Amino acid sequence: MLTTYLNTLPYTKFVLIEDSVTAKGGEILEYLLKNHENKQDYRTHLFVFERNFNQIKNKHPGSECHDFTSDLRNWMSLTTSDMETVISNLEENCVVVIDSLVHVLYRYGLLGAYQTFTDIKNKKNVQQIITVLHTDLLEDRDKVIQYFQHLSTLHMELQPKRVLYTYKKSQRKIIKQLEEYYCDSGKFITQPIKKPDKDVIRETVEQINPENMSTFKIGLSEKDKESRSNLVLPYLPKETNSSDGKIHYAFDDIDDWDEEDPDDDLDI
Amino acid sequence: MEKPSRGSFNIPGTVINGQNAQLLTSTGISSVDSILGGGLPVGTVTIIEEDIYGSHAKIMLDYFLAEGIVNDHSTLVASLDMNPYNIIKNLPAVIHNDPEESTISSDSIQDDKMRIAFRYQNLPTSDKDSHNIGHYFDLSKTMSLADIENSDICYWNGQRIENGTSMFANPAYNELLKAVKEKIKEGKFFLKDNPSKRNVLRVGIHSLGSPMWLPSRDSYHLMNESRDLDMFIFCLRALVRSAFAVAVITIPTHLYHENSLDRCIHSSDIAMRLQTFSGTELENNFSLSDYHGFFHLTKLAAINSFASKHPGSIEYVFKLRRKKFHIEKLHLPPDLQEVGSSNSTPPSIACGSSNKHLLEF
Repeated sequence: MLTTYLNTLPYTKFVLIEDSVTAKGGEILEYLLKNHENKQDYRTHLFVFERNFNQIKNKHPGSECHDFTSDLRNWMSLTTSDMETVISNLEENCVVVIDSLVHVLYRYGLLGAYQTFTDIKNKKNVQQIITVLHTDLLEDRDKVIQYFQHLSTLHMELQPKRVLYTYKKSQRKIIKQLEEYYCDSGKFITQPIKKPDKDVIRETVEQINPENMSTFKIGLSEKDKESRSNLVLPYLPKETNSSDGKIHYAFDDIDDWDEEDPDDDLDI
Repeated sequence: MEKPSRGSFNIPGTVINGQNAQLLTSTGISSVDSILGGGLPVGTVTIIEEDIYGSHAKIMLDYFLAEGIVNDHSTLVASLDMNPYNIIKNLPAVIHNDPEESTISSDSIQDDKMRIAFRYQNLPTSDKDSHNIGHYFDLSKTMSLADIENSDICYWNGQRIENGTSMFANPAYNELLKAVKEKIKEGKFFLKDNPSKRNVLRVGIHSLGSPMWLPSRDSYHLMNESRDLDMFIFCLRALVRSAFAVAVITIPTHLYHENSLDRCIHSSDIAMRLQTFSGTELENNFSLSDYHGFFHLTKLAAINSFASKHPGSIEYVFKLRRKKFHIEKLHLPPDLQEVGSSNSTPPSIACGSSNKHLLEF
């Protein structure tokens, strides 16, 4: 189950959520964030790259928010945070949530983003990194996804109503599964995909009687079947009881009758 | 490569192959040594294509480095993905016996003698080399810090990269080549040098060409478009050939396109590939359930000889136990009833089927 893998201690190091317009990952991120905010033994750092910073800050009083939306290029000389300094200042035990990875890629380039994430991942005090990758905003989608999958330890690919995840449990064990998910009042619930029972399918199929669905008669009654079996078709050999003639052959003296069937070896 | 004359130098952890006068050194894994024909020839570059999750290739690199430290070889460790000091710190500890040997032999002692296939009675179950140059390591323990501190280890983590002009798109490649060259020069490992005591330099590079080695910080180039990786391997080989050095590189090749991969294999001397079963369909395969993946020996260059020792089309598999990483030949299990029951009809001769047909004669 995906939720158990997400919540087991020690936390898996790098959670990568791959979402798209058809299957959005916002609710899952929100759920994970809420989960971490309730914990006392570490701080949660939220790197905000999308949406209104103040709204998000008010929504998440439990986590330390870093503003990357207001003045990303430092044009207005607001003293907003710089990603590198924030990361190098992460000293105590913490969880890092970055929303979203695409913006880091835009800002720092592929190599820069990858190096940043490797840096955070290699920090011992960071318990977990969580990030969302909006796949439909990427230029070279497959490659970027491949690189970050390589780095991630738990990678979730969201599809409508389903999530395909790869969990690198340890050095040796990898779990890859497809599960159903839904979000219910801030909770993220996954369950294995239920396969419909074979007996149920058979029963429902049997219940459907084509006889009732048409305005004309499709089947045959017992009487119809009997008369059908008694019908003699014109091309079939007719059984005749009248014995009009038979061939009687009397052997001549010179006839050399072979007892054996000449076609015996044909095995017909 | 220089042909060493027999007994001209006596470097611990090396042996001279009498057939083609190669100076061989161990990879740390005896089963790999025997596949390679005794060990890695000094002066060669080996590339290990990482499995998708990278862990098994790292273990092979660990064995290679640990073997060097035990033999007092000089070592250069490089990685951008993790701190090279952590790689050294977590090397497996050396032990005197094969860690899994006792359990294997107790399993294989069978009192009932083979009555029909008696010729195979005394055949060893796994290939054993009588003269093993390597040591045994225990993966569950780490090497003692004293051993590490006493050996000559150079760490490279790409910290001081100068943005000079070089032929590489990522200056880190150039820096690493320079570091290797410096190390060879400083330790007098060049063939022309005459140090008081000859030694071997082991160069271990972890996850070369990973996304950490992408062209440059702000460009949106992709790895396939640059020739950095194969050029680096080519240059490194030239460097290592002229010295008493041996290099092992792991590369996450699943991130690369096949074309660039072929160039890398071409520039290397020995190329091997690890393919794990976990996370793939092969995981549930009945006959492979004892193993963790395939070991492919892609290339084994013929050095000082005309014929490569490449074993041909034998399939190898690897197994990672708690204490030991092991490679063996893949033997499919005998086809017993449980497996074969699905196709129970016995094979028939082409012209005469068992149930007689009407027109058959």
